[in-house]
Amino acid sequence: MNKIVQGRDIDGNKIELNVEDLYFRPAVYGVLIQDNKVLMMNQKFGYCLPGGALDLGETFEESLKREIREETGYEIKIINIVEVTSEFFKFPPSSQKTFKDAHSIRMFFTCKILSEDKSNIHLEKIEEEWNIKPEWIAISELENIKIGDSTDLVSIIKKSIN
Amino acid sequence: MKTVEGLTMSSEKIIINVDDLYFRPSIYAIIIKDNQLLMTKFGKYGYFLPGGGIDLGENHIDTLIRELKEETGYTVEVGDLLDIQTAFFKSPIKEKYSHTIKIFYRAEIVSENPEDIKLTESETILKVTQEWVNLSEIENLKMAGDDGKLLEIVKNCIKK
Repeated sequence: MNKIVQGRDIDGNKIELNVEDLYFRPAVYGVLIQDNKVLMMNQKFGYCLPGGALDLGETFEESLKREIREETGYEIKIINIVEVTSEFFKFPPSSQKTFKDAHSIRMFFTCKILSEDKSNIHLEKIEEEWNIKPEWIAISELENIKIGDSTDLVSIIKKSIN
Repeated sequence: MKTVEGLTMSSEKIIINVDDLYFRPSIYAIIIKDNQLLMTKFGKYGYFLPGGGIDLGENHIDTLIRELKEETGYTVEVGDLLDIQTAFFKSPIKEKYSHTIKIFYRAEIVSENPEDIKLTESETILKVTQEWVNLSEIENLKMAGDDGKLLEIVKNCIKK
């Protein structure tokens, strides 16, 4: 009999996933806070944090710096690990690529911005399709925006502040 | 071909082809009691922390509780997240090369039942045992598959 785990889709709905279909997807995300605002990525499913999956052969520091540079143009310094979550995740359908269901190990770090160069922004095709763009969101507005992510990002952001 | 610098179980540096790597997320516990740290000894290779690889479909906290039970017979309560490390690593028993994500948590022992100990085949081959090591002696230990980072993580944990 197949082993099943409870996972989530991008809207946070609970779904059942077959363990045999899963692959490991370690991923890193940055929490950047400045002037009571947090840097988030606005995309067609709602808001998420900047970051993404590790490439094979890449350290978590290299991945996080690369992902944030490509998505926002910011050069960053990693300060601290805040949270690690295990997520079983079904990707939304895309015309670009078919994704397998993922066992994602998501690592969230507080970071500090060192410099900015918008010409370093380089989006993947899927990110362009989702119309992903950086936006500073006031901490006080977090409860009022639509989070497009399977994780409770608001509590991770609040944990980063404390 | 793209390569990265990795380590063997004897902590020797090796060059690994990125194409040969696979992801191995893993989780380890720092358990300190009476000024002693619980460590896993891998026979001749030396010491590391108790813990191990996460299974597909398993929450990482459940992995830590399961690994501790199977390796040490201790039932633990998992505490604060302490640190993360990326490492590239050659398996001591197979021609396999892992891109390992090591996640470190503080943990506390709740109860003990030696009958829960159930070593895997590779742990038996590696002659895995458990030892309580005095904090003052950790610096002199030979670590298995480590480049000095483990000592740093343990020292930071003691300071917190």
